[in-house]
Amino acid sequence: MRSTMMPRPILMLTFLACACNEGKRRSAGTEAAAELPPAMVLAEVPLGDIAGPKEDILRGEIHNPYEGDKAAVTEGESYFHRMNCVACHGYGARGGMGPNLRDQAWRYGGTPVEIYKSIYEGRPKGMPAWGAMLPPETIWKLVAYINSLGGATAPGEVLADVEGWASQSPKGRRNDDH
Amino acid sequence: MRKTISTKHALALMAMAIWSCGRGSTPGREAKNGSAPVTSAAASGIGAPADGTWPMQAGDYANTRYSPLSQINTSNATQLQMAWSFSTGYTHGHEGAPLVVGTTMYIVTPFPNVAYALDLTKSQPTLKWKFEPHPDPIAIGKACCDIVNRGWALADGKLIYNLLDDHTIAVDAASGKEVWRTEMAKVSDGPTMTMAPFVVNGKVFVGNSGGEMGVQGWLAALDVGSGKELWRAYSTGPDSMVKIGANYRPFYSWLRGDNVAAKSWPGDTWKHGAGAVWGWISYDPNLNLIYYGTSNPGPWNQDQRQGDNLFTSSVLARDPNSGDLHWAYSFTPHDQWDYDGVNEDILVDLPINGQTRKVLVHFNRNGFAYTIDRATGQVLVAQPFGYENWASRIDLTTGRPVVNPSMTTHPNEWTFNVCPPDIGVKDQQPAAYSPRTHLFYVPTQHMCMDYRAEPVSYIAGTPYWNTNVKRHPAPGGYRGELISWDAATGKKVWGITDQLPVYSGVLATAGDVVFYGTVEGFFRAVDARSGKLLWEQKLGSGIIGAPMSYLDASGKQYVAILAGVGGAAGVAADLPGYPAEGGTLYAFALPPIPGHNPNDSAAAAQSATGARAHTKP
Repeated sequence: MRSTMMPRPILMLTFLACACNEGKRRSAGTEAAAELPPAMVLAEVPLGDIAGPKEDILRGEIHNPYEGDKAAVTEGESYFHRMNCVACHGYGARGGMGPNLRDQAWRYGGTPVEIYKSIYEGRPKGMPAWGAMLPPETIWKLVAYINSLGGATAPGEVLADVEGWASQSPKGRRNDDH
Repeated sequence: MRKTISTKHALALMAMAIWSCGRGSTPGREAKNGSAPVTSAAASGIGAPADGTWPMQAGDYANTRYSPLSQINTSNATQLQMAWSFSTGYTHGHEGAPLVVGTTMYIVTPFPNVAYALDLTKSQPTLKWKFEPHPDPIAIGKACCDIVNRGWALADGKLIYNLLDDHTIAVDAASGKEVWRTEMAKVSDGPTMTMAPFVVNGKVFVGNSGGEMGVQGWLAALDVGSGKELWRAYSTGPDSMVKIGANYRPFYSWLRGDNVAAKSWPGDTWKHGAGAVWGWISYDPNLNLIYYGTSNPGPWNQDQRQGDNLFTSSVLARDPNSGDLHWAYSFTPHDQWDYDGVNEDILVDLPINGQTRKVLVHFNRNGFAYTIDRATGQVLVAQPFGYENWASRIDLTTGRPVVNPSMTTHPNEWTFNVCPPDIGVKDQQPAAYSPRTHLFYVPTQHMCMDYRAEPVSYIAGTPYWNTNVKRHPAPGGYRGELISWDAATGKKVWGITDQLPVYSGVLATAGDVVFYGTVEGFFRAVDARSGKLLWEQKLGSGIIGAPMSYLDASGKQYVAILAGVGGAAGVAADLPGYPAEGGTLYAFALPPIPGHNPNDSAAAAQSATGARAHTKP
């Protein structure tokens, strides 16, 4: 598994590096951009407990540069709508075509950096790879919004809720019957 | 067999001809004892073949879902028992009707679209073969409303169906080996394929899903033998893409004009304007026209697409050989509530104002039942068949709905209590027609919605949608009803209400029994004339598939249903009574049932269950 995965992070590094520079130019003047973690460190973060190695390598060490930033959460929510995330993951991110992002079940890991990687790289069941379209600041703000919904896990916290993620699948148009 | 298929049975012959083409010998069975009585309906091309096969999804080209079999009738349906069952091993919504040709039954599962052939020569049918096509899982995240498959076709010795990842595939019906696989679209861009292919004269017709993904809808014809694409006609765009030429003669003036399917949109918004083709197709061999419907326009925010948005939420009549458009009609021009027009078009001849007319009967999501002249596209009757408040009526002189201004939707604003909701008074779950009662049997929803669309940008591979919908029951408190409908006059005859939406297909039989299922999981037999519940059996999961009927090798009649809740019935997933998922095929018959030994304890248990069921209502 490791050998088949090796080329991908390397490829990704190039994109990430470009995206970082791009992002810095766009957000000239914001201090947060300067605090983005180095691309190499991000790329080496493994996938979650189901899809990747069980050991807690590095993930605890990477924090969202916008952690605790309420303005970033609001901006993240705005991107969540403008980038059409809302139509898949549902209003309030309660799930629909794509998984619920408010529960404790994370197929590819629920720490901020794991969520960052899922957005950046895309995932096999239909999640597009946003790394080619969005600068890292925007992705981190999306992570901040998702984190604010309460389902994401703290850095270093290990969750392996197999039953939970197995049930995370498209359910048709969710009902808001009341 | 020759005896049971008389020369009058044009339809049955056609079906068998399609099946046996290129196969040397004709499959099928010898004449059976107790074979079905010939009905006058069969002569007019209505109903499944009298030999007890079920060779296409609706039983016939006309989409009546009528079985000419009558061993099971109103006087003995109370004694029905489960004869055999087969687990598909998959969850998610199981739609479609099992097909039976020869002594084999064919079913296909939701994604990953596994096909099974079951040997009906055994009293407890066994697996003949299993075929796994391994579609791309990226399709899971591109399907709006569960990962369903609506049906499959049999032609030229092949089982033909669509994979969710935009491939049409043909599998050898005898061996279960893949014959051809044609990529019809790029799933990563957003479209999927869920509809049931339909075969006419060596061509298989398929269309795309993705009304919420910014697709441009199309119907394509493939060669049954090779899978090669012969033509493709889009629902929107310039005349060349829509295949509008000299033969195009719509009834109403607002459907005419150069490039009307492009000019009824601002700029080039038709490119992502949907009009997806994810429903049913029917065929009139005399007029040589195929009929099918198109989805809602995209995006749901109507403000981004002023105009009639042709041909979305429409019915189209095309020449099956060339694809040329002959006429079209938009049920809901400039739809702003997700009222797709994809529901089945049932082709019958009805007396209207003292004159027999060749009509197409269509129960639209928007709550109106349309009786349309299928040669011209003229609307003859349009009446509400369930609870709706978005339009006061359909103006028969113009063919246009008279829209209630308070139900107009605006971006970033809630519009409250629009009835019906996005899934309509009826969605794709197909109705049935009986030529004996001249009634239509229609599964319906009884719901309303609050609707708020946001402005949205097209990003390939993501939804072009962004609309918040809250659904609730319509007045009366129930959410579903099976109704019977007189399409000549536009009147409801009787109804059976349910707490959950009624989201299964319907079967009508020459025994005057109507079969359907509930989302909760009850499979029911109802008297076609009175609407009286004759029998019901709770199945393992909910029912969103379509029942069919067949004769086994000894000539005994069975009714089969593929159960497994999901699909758009998932709107009820959080309500009490919504069952667990899981696909199982069930077949029912009258006792004595082959393979059931009355001295055997399992058979005794079976009989006890039956006895409990028929004391219920």
